[in-house]
Amino acid sequence: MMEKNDKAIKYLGKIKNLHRYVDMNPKGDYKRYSVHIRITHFLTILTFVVAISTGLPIYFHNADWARAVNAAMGGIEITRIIHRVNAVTFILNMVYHLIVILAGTVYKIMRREFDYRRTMIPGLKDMADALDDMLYFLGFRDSRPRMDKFGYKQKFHYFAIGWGNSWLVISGLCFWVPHIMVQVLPYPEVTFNFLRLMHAEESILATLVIVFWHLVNVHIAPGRFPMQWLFLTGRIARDYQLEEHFLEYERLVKSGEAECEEYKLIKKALETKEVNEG
Amino acid sequence: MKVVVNSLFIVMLMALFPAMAGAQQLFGDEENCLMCHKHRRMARIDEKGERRNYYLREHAFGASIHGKVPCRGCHTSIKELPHKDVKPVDCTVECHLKAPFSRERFSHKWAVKLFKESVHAPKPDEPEWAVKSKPDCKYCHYEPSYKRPPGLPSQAYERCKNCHQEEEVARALEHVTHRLRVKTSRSPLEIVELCSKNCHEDRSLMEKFKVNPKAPVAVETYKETLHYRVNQFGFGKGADCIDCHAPLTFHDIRKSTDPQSHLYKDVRYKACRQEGCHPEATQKIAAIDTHIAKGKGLNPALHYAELVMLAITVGTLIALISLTTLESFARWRNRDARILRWKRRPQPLPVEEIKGVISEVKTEVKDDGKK
Repeated sequence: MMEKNDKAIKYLGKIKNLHRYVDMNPKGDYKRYSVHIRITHFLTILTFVVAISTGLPIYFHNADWARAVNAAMGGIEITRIIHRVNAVTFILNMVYHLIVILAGTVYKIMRREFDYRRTMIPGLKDMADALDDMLYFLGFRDSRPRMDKFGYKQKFHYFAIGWGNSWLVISGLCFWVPHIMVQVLPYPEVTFNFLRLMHAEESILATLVIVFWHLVNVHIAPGRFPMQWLFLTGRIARDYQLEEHFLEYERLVKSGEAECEEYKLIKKALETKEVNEG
Repeated sequence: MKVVVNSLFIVMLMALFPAMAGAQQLFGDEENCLMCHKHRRMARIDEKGERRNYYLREHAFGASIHGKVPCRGCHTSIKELPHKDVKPVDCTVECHLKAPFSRERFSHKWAVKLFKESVHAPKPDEPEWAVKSKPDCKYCHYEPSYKRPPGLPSQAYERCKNCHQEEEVARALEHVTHRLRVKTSRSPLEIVELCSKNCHEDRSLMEKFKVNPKAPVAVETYKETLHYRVNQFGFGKGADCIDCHAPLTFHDIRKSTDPQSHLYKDVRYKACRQEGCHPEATQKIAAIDTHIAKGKGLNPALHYAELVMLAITVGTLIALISLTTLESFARWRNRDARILRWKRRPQPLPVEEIKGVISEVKTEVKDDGKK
């Protein structure tokens, strides 16, 4: 295996836009997400949908549609209870994720497997990647930049959600337990009403990011529609990995966890007439 | 003169129907005023050309809070029968009821005294428009339906009967416990309407009074609060106007900058702490603005924060839409994806590129060999 890979590795990264020519398994080819991340993602979907569908009718309570939604839920007082139960789940999910990330990092450091390039930590490369990607989309480059396990899109989205969620939790608590929050917050007479304003503003911002970034990138963009099974299987499809996370693919090939796709393609090409003639 | 003639005529008319004149004693009508005033058509057109109605619904009035007060207890200017034009009722008058355990006759003068010190009482140096737009007693205490709060549990009356045989004692008990059972006969939403309508919601009028910059938007900002929403949707009792501005006696509404005001900054938390409200309230929570004023002049920090958030939201929206649109078109154009995911097939091999790669790798291998 190692010998074969040594031979194959020579071809690694030699073919541009490799993702166009490879086959893929709909259930996923390369390991990407652990079961904890998948549970967190599932809970995030659930709490996000419930938070929006109960939060909007509470905020726009005087609109006709909001009255209908509130009535369907059994009155605005029930909508509020659902929103708060959901908020608890939401916060627990955040805590769960933090524990998973911290424990996972400690575990990797102890086994000397930790590599910051495979984490969400943003760096200058992400800015360069974003620029290169734009240039490719505008037609000034002939291939996409080679990104790591988490590209600039994932990092932007991750920190946008992390930032937004933190604001939502703090500002939401200002509605729920004001008498505790005034003791905790500095200058409550200034910050309190500002935070209450932020709760609605941040949630609308989060909804926009989800709709126009996550939904479009993952579900609507050409070649992405309708979705991949990554969120269930934890395995990413080959074309995805090669297009958007090439460096992670390289790492897997070098460690022997994955086969070299370039080598496979060239072997396949050698069997055809045209290449042999040349 | 006309009035006297009219009244005389009616009195004579009544004399013809003695059975009707003997009114039921539903309230303290010892002087038989109902002899005339029980007639529905008892009315006249006054000097201003307005129709004045003098009919008294004895059942409704008898059941009202003033049902036991004799007519002349309030209408003190009546000295003879048939009477002449009466003066408007002065609520500070001492009426005929005597408060138990007291040598005084009952009077609303203490409430009026408090009211006179409040912001709502006309001040001597005020212009006429200001005096006119301020409320008098009846503006708030006008209650045409004579609604009564729910009574006491029947056991309460049963116990009275141990000593007092008369039903009137139970009624007195109901009367004195009235304000213990309900703060006012009006619902919170009715209180809000009472204060808002034609008055506090009228921005230009409030601006003329120059109370403070936030006063003109007091109703708008209140309606943004959870206090109002709880009342609006009826799931509990949210604070209405008087709950905070006049928590105890109702009449002493003062400017919040007045140290005697219940909403003066040092004592405001006591208003929040009322029973059934926020018993845990502290100075800190009371310092938070309840009428959250928005707008450049009123709350610049919040105003600019809102603008910044709006800019971020719109900016994010524009950026994300343009980025995803650009990417979608480019992926389509660059043959990265042309089809639905489940119909995806690999594209044909790039023969020329592969040839190049093979020859490149071979030279690399040769170079390695040379080394």
